[in-house]
Parts: sequence; structure tokens; C-alpha cells
Amino acid sequence: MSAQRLLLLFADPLQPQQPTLAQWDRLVRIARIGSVASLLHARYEAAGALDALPAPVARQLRSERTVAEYRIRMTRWNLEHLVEVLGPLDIELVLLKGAAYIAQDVPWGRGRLTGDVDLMVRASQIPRAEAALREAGWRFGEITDYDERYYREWSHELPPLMHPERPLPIDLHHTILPVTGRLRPDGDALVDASVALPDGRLRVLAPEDQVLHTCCHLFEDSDMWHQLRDLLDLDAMLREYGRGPDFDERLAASVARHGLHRPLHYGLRYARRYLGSPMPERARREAARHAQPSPPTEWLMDALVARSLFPDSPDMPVRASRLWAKRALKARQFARRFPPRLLARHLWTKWVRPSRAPALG
Amino acid sequence: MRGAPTVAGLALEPLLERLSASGVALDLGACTVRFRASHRAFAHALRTLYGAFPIEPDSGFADVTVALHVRRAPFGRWARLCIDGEWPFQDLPLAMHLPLVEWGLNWTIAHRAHAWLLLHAGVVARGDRALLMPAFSGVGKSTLTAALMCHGYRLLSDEFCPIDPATGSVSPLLRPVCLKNDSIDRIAERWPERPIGPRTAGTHKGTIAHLAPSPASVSARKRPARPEFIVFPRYQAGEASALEPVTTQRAFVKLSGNAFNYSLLGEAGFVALTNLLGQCRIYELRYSNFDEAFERIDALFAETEAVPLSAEAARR
Repeated sequence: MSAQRLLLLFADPLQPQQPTLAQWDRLVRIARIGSVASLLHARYEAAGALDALPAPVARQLRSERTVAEYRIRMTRWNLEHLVEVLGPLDIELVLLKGAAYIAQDVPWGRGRLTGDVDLMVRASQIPRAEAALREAGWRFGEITDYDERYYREWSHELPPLMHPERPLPIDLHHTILPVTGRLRPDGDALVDASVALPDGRLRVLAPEDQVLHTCCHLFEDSDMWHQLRDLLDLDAMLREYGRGPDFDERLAASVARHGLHRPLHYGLRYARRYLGSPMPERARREAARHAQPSPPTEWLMDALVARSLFPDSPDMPVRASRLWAKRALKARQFARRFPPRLLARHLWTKWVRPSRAPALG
Repeated sequence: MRGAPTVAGLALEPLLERLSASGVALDLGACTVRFRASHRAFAHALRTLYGAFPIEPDSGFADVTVALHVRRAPFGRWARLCIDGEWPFQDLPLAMHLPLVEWGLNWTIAHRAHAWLLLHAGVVARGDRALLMPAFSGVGKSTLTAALMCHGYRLLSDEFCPIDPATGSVSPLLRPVCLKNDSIDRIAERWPERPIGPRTAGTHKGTIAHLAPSPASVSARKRPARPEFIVFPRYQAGEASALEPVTTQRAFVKLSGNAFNYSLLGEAGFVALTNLLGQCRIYELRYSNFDEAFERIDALFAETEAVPLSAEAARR
């Protein structure tokens, strides 16, 4: 299967059996659909293997890489701006995901395609941070009153904040999962454990919490189209952070502290299965002890993840089985993030009511 | 190239068969595009517009794969464009399938050509000496590009000017020239022997039709050229023609503003554009008919010395 071949190239760009041109034709397209083509270029570059790429392949990957590097530059620019605008508040500014990897300058951030800047502050500081950003010209895009209420009361972040002069939006978080969900990690504790970057103004989650956040994102709060990229993030972190002597222990403690056993269980399961990631054994056992799914559940999850994770053949529109796998995983997320009454209300507002409204224009 | 059939070398039926099976890959110079379709009218248009292009072997690499699907709906049939497994555009009525494919291809190329500084300009050349005509709406860039090709210049592109940042050379990105409204007749009446594809009325740009690139341009599509002239054309009916120098500074502002990926490339884009302007003579051309424009541009090439293409650029 092409997608698994792609993962092998990520694992080892220098492997002697390089794809033929016709194989590359499929691999590049699959990588592009999965938003990981720029990342593949960075992996080849880091391995000193760019010369192994046939010229037209190198050109396409370099083109994707150029887009990623542009977004990285724009992210850095946003970060300077954030420090300027929010620095005077004297609160902890914790970067999440892509923005964190860029600010930390870790290898898996190189060439990674980022679409926004995720920033987390304590829930109690959201009003001040929001006011300061609005003062500096950041605004919500076009959203309905319901959307705004949805974000403010039931979500873990504000609606995306846009700035007319800046290409990337900011997502302002106060925790890493929706507050109405079954899993309720403690946002303040995550900020307490966060680590200051050398510049002293910005912070990132502790390594074990970065791993937990990525697992949460993959299985509890994903848009379902960037899972391949997130799984590659997870693999890179398990390899890098896993070398720290107390990482396993801290991950085990943090997963218990925040009650995130199920997402960690799945994250480790699929990182090991598809990328052969090294396992933090203690944390893995801790997750399995509290959240080992029943065999039918796990069988179903395996089947859905296998279908959802890998981009389809690029010659076809998305295959029905893949769409249904994504929908099923999304439905699982919804069931876990909303209590039943809220879920009914959300579905009514988002799906049923709009279809009854008269078409405009 | 002997042995590889050209698009026009295949009869309609075998071409259609190939289009709907493995697809037909064409090397346009800077990139290779694979077409897939099972719609007969599209195969027909492909023969008219891309007739001189050799069909690349199936085992190669394509930068873009475009598949044209026909969707049947209760009220008529629709054209849907699938690009590498995604369909970024709204379906259009089937009668508009050709503009959909060409514009979809333009959009995709503009999003994937960041290995170059991609200017929005028509490009023609004499031998390896290239003349760039940056695009600003309503100046008649496509029409003049088409006319210069019919007048004997080599066409590199009517839309895309990919500059290699390493060598400063421009690569052909050869496609049919998109003519709009009155321009179609102006070209068709003066050069009736040139193949023009079907006219599509009612697009957001009015009636459009495509002019096939000349066979000589097609056979030279792997040869990069050295940009020597930048000409900002301006069509002004009833006025005397004029060719006036433009300052580098003004040209910089205009070109950086209408390049597809100037800011995306960051410093590399700045350096490439600065070098380009440093090696070019830059003019504004006012003209009211083709013959005046030909005279001015022929004179430009005649009165200046050819600068030899650097060895490195020639190798690519």
C-alpha cells in the first residue's frame, strides 16, 4: 500500500530501495493530500539524501517546502507580535503544537505545514489576553452568535482571531480539550508544568504534556485530515523526548493527573503499529490498565483508524469507506465532547436548522 | 522523441481510450501534466490545442494530474475537475469543461511552482533571447503574445514566467493561449491557418477560445531562455505607437506586486527579481495595431546584441 511505503521513507530516507518515478508519482500526490510533502522534503534534507530524489520529485517537494517555510516565517512574525502585545500583561504564554515546535526549533518542526498559531493562557486570563489582542487589531472572522457562544462556553478555545495584515490566525486556548467533554484535563496544571523557552517570554508544554496533547488532538479533537502529520509529530516526540531519563515516569504521572488514558493508549498503539515508535512502557501500561478498550471496541477503532489515516489513491475521489471511517471517528469525538442534551442542540443548530433556511443570493 | 506519438498523431478514438485509461501525460517544459477524461469533446479539443505535443510514457512522473469527470444531474450534465484526488473548484456546466480544465490547471500550477519565481507574464523569444510582457488586466498581454507567436516568435507562455533563481533563466511553460472576446476574431482573421479551439460563451471573462502553440514552440519547450527585455504593453486605439524606457524601480514595484509567489519565496524572491531587472532592458510599449508592435519589438531585438546564455542555464 502506497501510504505505508510513504511512512517507510519518512522513517529512513536513505533506504537503498528508492521508489521508481512512477511510484514517486503516487507517493508525492498522497503526501500532498496528507499535508506531509513539505515534511518529507525536510526529512530528506536532514538525512543528506536530497540528491537521491529524481529532479522533478525534488522540485515538487521543494515547492511544498517553500510554502511551509513561508508559514514558519509568518508564525515567527506572529510570535514576535504576541510577545509585544501580550508581554506587558505578565502572564504565562504557552505555545501549542506547530507554533511550539517552531519556537523550540525541534527537528520535527522543520518543514511542517502550519495553518495557525495556537496559544494557551490560564482560563482566568482569557479576558485580558483577548482584550489586548483586540486592542492590537485582532478580530474574529465572520461568525454567528451561536458560534461565538459555542466557542466561549463549550469549547477550549476562542474563535480564530484574524488580523488584516497577518496571514495566519491565532487560536487562543485555555485548555487542550473542550470543557464539556468526558475528558477534562486541568488547564491550569498544564500551564504550571509548562517550560520557559530560552527567550524567557514564551513557554511550551512540558514534553510529556506535548505528547498527551498530540494524542488528544489525534483522537478527541481532530479535523480528520491532518492525522498523518500529527502521528508523525507523535513519533518524533516519542523518539526525542523518550531519551530523557524520567520521561516515561513523568508521562505516566501526567496521564493519571489529567485522566487522558484513552487517547494516550490509542496514540501509542498506532504510533507503534505504523511507525515503530519506541514505547514509554510504564506510561503505556498505566494507560492500558485504566483505559484498555473492550476487544470489539478496539477492533472497530483499528479498522476506522486504518481507513481514516491514510490518504486514498489520488486518482479517485475520496473512497466511501474512508469518508465513513472519518465520519464515524468524528461522531465518536462528538459523543465524547458533548453531554447528550448539548449534542442534540448542537446538531439541531448546525445541521437541521440551516438546511431549512431559505437559500440566500 | 521519435517513436513517441503526438496527441494529434493519435486518432480520436485511441486518444479517448488512452485518456480514459492511463491518461495522457504531456511535458509542457517546466512541468508535466497528465490529463484524464472520458468526454469526447475534450479529447477533440486536446487534439486541436495540444496536437504537437508528444505523449510521455505512462511510467513517468507528472507534476499535476487533472481528471475531468462528467456528473449527471436532473437538469443537465456538469463538468467536475478532480486534481490529484481533490476537487478544489465548483462544477461548471459541461459546455464549459475546457475553460474549467485550463483555469483549473492554471490555478494548480500557480500553487505548485514555488521552485521558481513565478511572474504573471507572457513570454516570447527569438532563439534564446526572451521578452517578458507582465500581465495587468486589460492591456492586451495575451493578444499581443499570441500575435507575436503568429508573427514568428517562439512562445514560452502566455501566462506564467517561471524564473529559475539559480540561473536567472526563464523556462517555457507552454500552454494554449487564452483569447477573450474580440481578440479571438482579431487573431483568427489575420492568421486563419492557426488552430483555434472551440469558443465557450458565457464564462466570467465573456467568450473565450484557445489558440494552439506553434509546432516550433512545442519542439523548443525544453530550452530555457535568457530574459533580455521586459515590455509593459498598452493597447491604445488611434494613437501613434511609442516605446519608452521604464526605470528599474518602477518595474520592481509592478513585478513584485503581480508575481504569484514573490512574498512566499522571501529573500530568494527578492534576489531573483533584482537580478532579473538588472539583466533586462525595460520599456513601456504603446500600440494601436499589431504591425506597429511588431515593428517596435523586431527593432528591439535587431538593434541589441544577443548576450550568450550562460553555460549553466543551457545545461538545464
